[in-house]
Amino acid sequence: MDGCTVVIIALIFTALSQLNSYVSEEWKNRVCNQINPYFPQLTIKLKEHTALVEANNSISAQDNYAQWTKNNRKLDKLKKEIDDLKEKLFHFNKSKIDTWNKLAKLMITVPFLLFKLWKGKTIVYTLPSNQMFPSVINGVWHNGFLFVALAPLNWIRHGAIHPAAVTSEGNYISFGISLGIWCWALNTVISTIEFIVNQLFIREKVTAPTIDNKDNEKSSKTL
Amino acid sequence: MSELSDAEKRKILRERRQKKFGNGGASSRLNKITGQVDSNLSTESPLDTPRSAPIESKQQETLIDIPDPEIPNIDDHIQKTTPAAKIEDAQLNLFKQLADMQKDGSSPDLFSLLKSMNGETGDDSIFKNLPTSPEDAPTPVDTELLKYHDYLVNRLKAKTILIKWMFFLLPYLYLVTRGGRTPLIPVPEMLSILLDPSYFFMIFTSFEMVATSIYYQKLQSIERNHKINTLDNSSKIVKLVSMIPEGIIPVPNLKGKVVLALQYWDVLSLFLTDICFVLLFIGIVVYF
Repeated sequence: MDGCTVVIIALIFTALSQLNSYVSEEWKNRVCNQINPYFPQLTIKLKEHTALVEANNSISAQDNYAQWTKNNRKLDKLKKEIDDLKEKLFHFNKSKIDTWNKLAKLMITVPFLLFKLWKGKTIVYTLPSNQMFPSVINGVWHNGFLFVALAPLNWIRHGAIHPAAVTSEGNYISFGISLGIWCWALNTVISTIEFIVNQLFIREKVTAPTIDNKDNEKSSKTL
Repeated sequence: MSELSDAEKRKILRERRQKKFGNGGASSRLNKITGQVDSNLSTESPLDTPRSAPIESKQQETLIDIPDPEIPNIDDHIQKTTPAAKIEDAQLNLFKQLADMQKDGSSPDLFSLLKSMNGETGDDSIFKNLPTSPEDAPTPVDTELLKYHDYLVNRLKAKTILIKWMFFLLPYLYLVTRGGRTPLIPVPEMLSILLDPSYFFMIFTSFEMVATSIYYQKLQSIERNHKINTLDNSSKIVKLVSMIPEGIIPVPNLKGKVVLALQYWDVLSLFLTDICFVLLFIGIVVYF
């Protein structure tokens, strides 16, 4: 598998995992409600409850005491049924969402991790020059983060922190960026871009607290 | 027959009751309960006793009479040792302290007032763990101000990263990877040496140090304006560490060390974020 193919596969996995993280709990609950057998029952009961409350508010408790009491008893019964249905709905949705999360882990996270472990050392692209970064950092880009731990061992065994950097002809290899490092860089940049967009464009503006509020709070604290 | 006798009985009881009410029997019973007439209960009310008496006696003691330590004043001792007197003394001293502080113009400090109460009542179990001076007491932060402070700090961080990426790293990397030869960005001849790839890491690191120091200066000015330490108030790790009492972990000033480590990590994370951007952008430029 060449560098281009592994990049495309890594991009697909990254896109899927990001999409999964963007799906909110609220959306998942809405989807689960459509397949939940308790949801239509709950909707009917809630409508009955609303209608009964309106009917009860429209009659006088003193003049139509019997009817009012009857309505109250029905309301109590309905409330109990609604609470039961809500609990069943919640448990059903929770089980479905847990299944969704497990599936996402099995189909996206775990395969992506295995793919990175399998093809992590594949060079995605070579650097324009070996001089751009110091040799230790070049080694990390080329071999992954484990290079930092193995460098002292290589020095002891081979007398050089990166014995594979020099070919048999005595030339230096062109250092490149391995897939594992490239995926780490990609995830970092994506999360930073999310942070920038969120802070600068999406987040609601927070105004400075006014002096009156500050003084009121100070006086309440001293009292 | 029994009905008649029952009715007669009821009649007799009714007459007796009416006689009793007529003689003021009910009120006499009430009077007994409230301790007015024919009662053994004391009618003295604590509200009737003059409050100034103990203070006056104290003042007289201090100004005029120097009590002989060998002969204790029994009355004062009884007054001081009764619980009611202790509480009264504590309350009065508290109000006195408040009044003095307001005269001085300083705001009364809660912890010193509680400490003075502690001294008077002798109950120090509640106040054992409180700080002893106002400087030790943690100043409560206004939640609205903290929210605004977090908003400003996050915006500063986002703007710093965006400016670094857009106005320095992007054009510089483009020029370095193109060997300085591009019609889009004309570069003077004397600066072309800076576009040599062998100087890239040195220039990148120098830029990072300057940018980080500017960022931290701005951050400190925000913290100074709001009098809020960002790490102390927003970091969960620092809050967790500050809950650990001194002595449990054999590390002196653990919180200070943790704060320092988190500051270094903050700097390092900014550096690593920019390195990641460099790696990705070089890849894009190499491919295209």
